[in-house]
Amino acid sequence: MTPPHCPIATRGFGFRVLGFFLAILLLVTAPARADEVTIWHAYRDAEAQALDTVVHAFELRTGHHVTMLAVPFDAYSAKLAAAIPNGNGPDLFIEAHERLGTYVRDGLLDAVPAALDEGFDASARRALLQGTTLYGLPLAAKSLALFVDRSVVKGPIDSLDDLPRPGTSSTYTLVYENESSYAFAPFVHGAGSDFLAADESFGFVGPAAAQALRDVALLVREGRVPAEASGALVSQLFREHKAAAMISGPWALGDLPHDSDVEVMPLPPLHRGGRPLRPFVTVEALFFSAHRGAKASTVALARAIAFDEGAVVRARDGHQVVPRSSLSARPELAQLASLQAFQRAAKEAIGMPSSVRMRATWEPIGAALKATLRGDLTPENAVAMAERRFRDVTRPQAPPASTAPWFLALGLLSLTGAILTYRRARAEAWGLALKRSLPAYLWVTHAAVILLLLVGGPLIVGAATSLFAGTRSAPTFVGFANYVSILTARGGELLGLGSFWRTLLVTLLWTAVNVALHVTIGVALGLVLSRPLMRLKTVYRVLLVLPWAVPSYVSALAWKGMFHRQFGAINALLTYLGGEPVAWFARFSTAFAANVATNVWLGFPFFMVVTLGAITGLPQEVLEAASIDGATRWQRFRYVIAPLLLPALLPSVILGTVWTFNMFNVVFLVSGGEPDGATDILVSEAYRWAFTRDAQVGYGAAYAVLVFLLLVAGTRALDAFGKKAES
Amino acid sequence: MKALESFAAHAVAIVATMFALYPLLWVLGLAISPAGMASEPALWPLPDSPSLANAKAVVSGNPHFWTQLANSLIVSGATATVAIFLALPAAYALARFRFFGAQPGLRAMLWTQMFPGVASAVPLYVILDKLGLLDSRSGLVLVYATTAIPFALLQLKGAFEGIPIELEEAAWVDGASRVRTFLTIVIPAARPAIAVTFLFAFMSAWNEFILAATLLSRESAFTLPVVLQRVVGEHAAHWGVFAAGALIVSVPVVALFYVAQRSLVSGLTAGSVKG
Amino acid sequence: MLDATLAPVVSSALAVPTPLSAPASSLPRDERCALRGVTKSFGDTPILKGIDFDVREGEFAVLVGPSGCGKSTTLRAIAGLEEIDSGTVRIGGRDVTALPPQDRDIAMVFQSYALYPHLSVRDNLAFGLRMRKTPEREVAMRVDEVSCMLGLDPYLDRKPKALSGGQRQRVAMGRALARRAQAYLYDEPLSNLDASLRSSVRVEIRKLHDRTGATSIYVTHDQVEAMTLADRLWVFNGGVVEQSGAPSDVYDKPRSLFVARFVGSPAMNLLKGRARREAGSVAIAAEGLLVRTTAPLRDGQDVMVGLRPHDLQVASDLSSALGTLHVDVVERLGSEALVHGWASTSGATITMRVDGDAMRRAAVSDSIAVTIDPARLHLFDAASGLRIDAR
Repeated sequence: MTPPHCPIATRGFGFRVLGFFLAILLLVTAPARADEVTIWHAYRDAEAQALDTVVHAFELRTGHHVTMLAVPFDAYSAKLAAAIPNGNGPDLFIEAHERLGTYVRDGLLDAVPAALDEGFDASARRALLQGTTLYGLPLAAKSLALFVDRSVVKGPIDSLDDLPRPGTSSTYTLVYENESSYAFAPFVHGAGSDFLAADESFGFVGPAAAQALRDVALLVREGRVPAEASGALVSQLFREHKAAAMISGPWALGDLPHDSDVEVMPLPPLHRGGRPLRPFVTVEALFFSAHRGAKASTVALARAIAFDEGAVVRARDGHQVVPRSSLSARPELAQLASLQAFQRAAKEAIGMPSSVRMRATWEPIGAALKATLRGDLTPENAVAMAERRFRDVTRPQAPPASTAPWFLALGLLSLTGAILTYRRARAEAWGLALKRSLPAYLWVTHAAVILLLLVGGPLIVGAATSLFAGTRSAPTFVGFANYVSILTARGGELLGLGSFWRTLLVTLLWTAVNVALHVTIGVALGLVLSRPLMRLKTVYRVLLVLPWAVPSYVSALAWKGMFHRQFGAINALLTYLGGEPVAWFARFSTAFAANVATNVWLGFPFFMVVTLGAITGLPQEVLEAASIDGATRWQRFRYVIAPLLLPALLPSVILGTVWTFNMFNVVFLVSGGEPDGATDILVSEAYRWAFTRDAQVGYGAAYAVLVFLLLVAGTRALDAFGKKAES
Repeated sequence: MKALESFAAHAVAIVATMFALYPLLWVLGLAISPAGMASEPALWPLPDSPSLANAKAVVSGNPHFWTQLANSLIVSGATATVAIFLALPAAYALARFRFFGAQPGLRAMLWTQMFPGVASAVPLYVILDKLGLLDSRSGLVLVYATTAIPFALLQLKGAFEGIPIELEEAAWVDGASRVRTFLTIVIPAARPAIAVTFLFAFMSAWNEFILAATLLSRESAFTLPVVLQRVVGEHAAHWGVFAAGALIVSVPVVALFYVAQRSLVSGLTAGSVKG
Repeated sequence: MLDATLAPVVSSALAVPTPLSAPASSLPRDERCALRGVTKSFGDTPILKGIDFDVREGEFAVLVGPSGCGKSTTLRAIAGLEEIDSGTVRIGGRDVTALPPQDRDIAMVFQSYALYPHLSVRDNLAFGLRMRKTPEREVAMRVDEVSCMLGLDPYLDRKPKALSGGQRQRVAMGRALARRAQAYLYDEPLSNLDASLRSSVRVEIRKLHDRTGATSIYVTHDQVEAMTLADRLWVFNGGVVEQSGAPSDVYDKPRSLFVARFVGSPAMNLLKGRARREAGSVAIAAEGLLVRTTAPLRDGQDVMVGLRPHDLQVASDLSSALGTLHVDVVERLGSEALVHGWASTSGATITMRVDGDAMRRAAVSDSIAVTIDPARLHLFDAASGLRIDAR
């Protein structure tokens, strides 16, 4: 007879484990090679290809090796801010000039070598100056212009009034991203107002600003412009001839069919004889990272990209509006009419200020715009609100606090700790406990060290940031000032929009509603699918966990699309059922409901699976006994199943509560805080402070610490409740 | 009565399934319509004339696609493996030993999960830089693993507590050492929970792109979600391509879900492992 | 169901003289397993308050007692699964007090069987041998031997979850028996089986023991198991050994009220009484029965009188009777019956066993005069609970 097989590895097990780890390390470690020049950009499509062509030509000609990296736009500035100060940045990177102020402040940039400062248009060059220092080589000017569908519109266009009025409900005069402050800028300038005044004070004030709001609101009300138009929708409506004209930038050129009869022109005035609608122009530029030292090869590459030779390729292939006057005579570019038009548009546009304060204007003006479009506020009130918000965001930094009391407190604390430890260490029982613990430490130390280093470390640093104000490169210690400011709602109403307390209430409501629905739906489906004789059980189960398996940022965007006022499926369904379409993101209740629907969709499969597991763990006899006792279905659930299920579900409920409390993706992607930040929860608020509101990192961190403290307190309470329920 | 009940159960399940699938059909519809999203309000999300142009753009429009797919697989697989390997012994100790510092340590670890990640990206970057692990897949794996370890620890601790202690005692009496028992008895008995933990760790790594984009600086080292995210630009986005990419990216996770389906139910619920 | 069909397989297997001998040993016979002054407490609760005992080679030792008495803890202390606070444990002549279980050379059958769920029956049986680096050929041989002996052949490639309760129990036993160990420990191995299976497996265990001669230490709370299996019995109570000895000794001369109550089925009738010295003897009025004895009792001493149901008899006339029993219930078991009733004056409940004519006549509401052989009388001091022997 054959000896029985031996499934247990008896020999060389240790070697196998070791080998496995080695294999993993080899697999995942691919050492970076030292390249000669590195360049980062966030381009895509035609622009990226044009850049590729230029760089390849450079490599072929000079023999230098260039490493290019395209970084997703969302992660781009964070990556630059993390990499450059540590000397790991690229030699060159391409970025719009609007962040110039921030980058210079944070010390990310080197000045442009003097030899390269030659032949750029003065206006573009001006945008890249800080004081008298030139910080970047202008590559392309980007501004909005009017795209006219010449198959629809024949005559000359001297104002937007010359565009034909829409004939049917699904066609429009004009499409543009009418909820974005960037696309709103031409109307602001057209009405004689501004984002930021020359003295860096808030420019969006007074009757002129209100007029701009009134103008754009009227366009929508008259049905000339579709509401809630996103970038993708804009170009699509235009492409499908559903709009006579579109306001967009040079990036839209690549999306147009080659044979389309489209004329591009600088934005005309709103009404005949009025002020032209002057957009902002941003200048994309090639920047030299700090801490890299300008090597000869770097300079050569910069020249190859920014100067005529590269500029021609970028203009021709990448549809870029290159700010070099020497090029306009070039025959290969002269025939590109649309480019020429953009060139003219850029010349008439207003250079976007690159100061730090400029970046604080977008959100308040955007909020005023949306509030007016929704009809929530009169233009005058919206303007006042915007100014209030701007002041809120740019309020003066808290005065530096003395660190002395903190060091004293820290010293006292560590002294007390040391004494306590010493006294405990002397107690015999403690020594014994420690000695008994030794074998266990062999099992946990490695994980503890890694967690301490990579989770604990960053977390403590992050928490400590909350005691500082100002930038990362030049932080000021302000003690508890950030907390005081948050908890007092910065002197405003305690329950006013955007205050910590109001956001907290919204967060609590958000968490409670979501968890309740998650558990209810999850348990209900779990019960249904655990019916022993259910057919197709497996099929249902697989289909029902799908929402969980698809990346949440994708499904969140799909949901946002479904809630679109004009084109969304939900409103289509409502109309089909004879209802009125709803502007979902216009009111708190509906926007909140949209967020909840999305999050419930994302979260119920988890609870369903947990319930299924918990039900299999229930003693079958108890259930049978209950049914023999003549309990009704509901009684059986209420008095038998629910009490047995609750303890098994509690850990998952706690976990789900924490997840929901911190569910950033859904709130940020679906409602985006609309209307007016009313549906923001604490985490998304923290994110806005840390990243979009002029990088007030300390302030955002203070929010994060508060969220943390709330959750710790909350889960402890839940735990205590669970223990009580169990006993 | 019975038939009515069964009908009701199926009705509930079908409604729920429609609720679950409808948004996904939208993603699918977006992915297979070359024109982009519908400019007419529509109930039925799929286009009349589907095309694979978007999917082709994702795969063949990107010379590094296969490398990046491999990167994603390697990074996510290694993350899950490393996280589980690190968490296994620690979770075992937490489940079976009483030792000084276990409770406070566990609590502290739970609390770290409640700290919004917003604030810790930059310090993490500095630490990896000092460790020389920047711009390497190992570094990324380590970072992902640390976010996966706490969950893995809790999950596995629960699973180990659910394994009857007699099983281990029997092995000790049979002559196996503690380590040997752990390797040959405890780990195999906890297989469903380990499978689920693997799935979750894999999934969280698989979908992440902000840290990957921040920590990696070579095209050939990028993971797929980073590349996918690139179609969303500052001024406009190719939603069709994005949706197609998202679906392609989801395929391995859905496949894993399908494979782990059985373990999913038992593995998520600690104490389900019975002899 | 399968278990019923298994039984003949096992018996026939037993008929084959396969020598599964205990390891050869040159140790003194009383040195197989010895505990000295073993104490253990969980927190402030003492569990073992100084346990001493010796198990001789080849002996079947049974530790019995109610739950929480410390018997399982003692067994686990022998196995090394429970650390002890003081005292020593010796197995096979070695002091193993400080050794972990894997170095103690013992085999154990667990109450829950603790079969490795991911291993087949074959691998379960082989696990202990492989852990001890037994050559694979010998492993195969021993697995065959054990599976043949226990009738496990048809199930060798199944996983434990595909087995019935009785089959799992067999595998658990087989896993222990496949090993050559200094001692085989059983922790209530039958408590998860149903009643009929339990008694048949009980018999098999004893047969196996007789054949292998392995030293066995067996923990149970079931006194029937204890009585039928044991060579020697240790009755545990509250962390101490109340009495040890051969089952018949313990049955015949329980050393304390506790043992008297615990051992024997149905349980001994115990009646409160007070001694009254009379000429040449002592009379005890015990809840309506009058008992006479020559035991050395003080006048007025409070005692407990113990009467085993099997020792009570129907008196031929009232003068020789202890008293009368008014019948409440008659449990007819076929060849015999248990009569439950109450003593005429006190109402104390008493159980007696009857057979033959008495059984046939026994009827509810009857009065029966009962008597007992004075030698079968058990007397205990009410205050200390200790046995008082007649001189």
